[in-house]
Amino acid sequence: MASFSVEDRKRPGPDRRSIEVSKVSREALEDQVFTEYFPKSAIDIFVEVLQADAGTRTAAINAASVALADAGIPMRSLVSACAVGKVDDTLVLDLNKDEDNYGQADMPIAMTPDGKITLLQMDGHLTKEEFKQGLEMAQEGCRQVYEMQRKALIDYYSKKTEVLATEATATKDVKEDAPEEPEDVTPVEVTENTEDTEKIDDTNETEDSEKTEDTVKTDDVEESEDSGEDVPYIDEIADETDGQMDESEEESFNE
Amino acid sequence: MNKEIVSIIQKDQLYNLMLKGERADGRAFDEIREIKIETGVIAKAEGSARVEIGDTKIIAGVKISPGTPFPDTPDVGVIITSLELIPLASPEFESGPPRENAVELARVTDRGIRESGAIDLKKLCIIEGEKVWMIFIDIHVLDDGGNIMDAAALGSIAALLTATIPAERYELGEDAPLPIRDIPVSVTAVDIGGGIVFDPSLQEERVANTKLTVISNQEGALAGMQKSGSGSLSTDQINHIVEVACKKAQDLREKFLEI
Repeated sequence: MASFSVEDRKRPGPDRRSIEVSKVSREALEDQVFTEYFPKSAIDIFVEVLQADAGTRTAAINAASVALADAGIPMRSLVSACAVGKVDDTLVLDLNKDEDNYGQADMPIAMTPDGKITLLQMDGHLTKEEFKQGLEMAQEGCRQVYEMQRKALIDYYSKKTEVLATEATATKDVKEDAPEEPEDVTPVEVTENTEDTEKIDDTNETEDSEKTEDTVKTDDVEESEDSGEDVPYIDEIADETDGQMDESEEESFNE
Repeated sequence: MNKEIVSIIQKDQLYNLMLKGERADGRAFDEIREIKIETGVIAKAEGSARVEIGDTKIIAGVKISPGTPFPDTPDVGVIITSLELIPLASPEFESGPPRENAVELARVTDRGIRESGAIDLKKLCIIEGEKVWMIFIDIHVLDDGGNIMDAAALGSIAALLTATIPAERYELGEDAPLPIRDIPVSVTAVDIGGGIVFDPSLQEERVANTKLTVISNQEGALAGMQKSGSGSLSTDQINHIVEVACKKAQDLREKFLEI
């Protein structure tokens, strides 16, 4: 959590709350990731809360789930999260800060589209009936979030493939290939992906060990020179690593 | 967090028993192990309790002293709960700052007491914005036989029930018991291969991948809940756990109130 994300400045670094939120968020996602495809490796998910207005863990899970999909990490399904709470004896969906502070209960849940609940926490006061009703409301909320997550991914990748498709027809002028190519892009191969994640980790590490950015750049060049067939995918990596580098640049300035 | 490796044979055995509707220690699925609660075990503490659930042993101590309230809540007392998984309790525990697991257990215990309104914190205000009573609940896990969660929750409320505010020592009036108005009780269940068992033993806890803790209050309403572990639960399973947990909590409370 950023120190400026809350009313009274938070001391930087993880506190007990962050530790717990990280634990439950990880557990909410873990079951849906095919971790067995990645023996002896770790998938790091970093979530930075920039402004906290209640519902940070649900937002974090929603974002992390889409980010995992974007990274091409194979998953059983997306995970969607939403909170239900009680304010003034009324059950409401997705509390904001004031509702959370002055409300009577808060219950974040996360679930998969097929109704498996992967996160469930509750504090405050709910009767059993309210709990049952709240659980249904939250599930409905999760369904709505799921649609948004799905749409975000579809929109992003269909835009991407559109651009690629036009590029492909312009340069190669092959009729058959163009419509097929988009489909190649979405189901990304696992091996490539591990490389991808490693690459990102690498950049972080290089930053830590104070190596120059040039090393990172060479990596990048190697990547793009890799070869022709999967051009769309490599472009993507290049984009991502570029973004990563900008960030690391900024950070090193701050230091 | 590394779970201790459970041998595949042991895991199979538990699953198979499960399918037959049995548990390794012969308990019914919703049967809780024998519970022993002893209070006032530490004279130096303002309140204390030793709780045993089967092989699990914990000790909870309450210290109370005046302190500064949080700026956003100037007129209410403070509760700080921490939990130590001390190395002698299990080969898995190591010394050092609390890890994820300990933090989670402490925070859920804390929520159960704070959010349920078990203590009337407004009555712990001495001078608004300046001085309030701070309650420190420290739970030491002495032996991990599974289901530390319920033992911790039980121990902390038992310790609080016997605690006195040491006002005389600080020349702030007369000693008084804590303003307790509710008794939250936590009941935990795990999912093993689709079967729900309550009060899991260490072995069961290790085999299961999902755990749900339900904290309920005197009216049978819910005061806190926490799903833990990487698995998932269906709505029906959750409703079942909530239903049974509230009932079990009521039984425990009756036993408890006799203290």
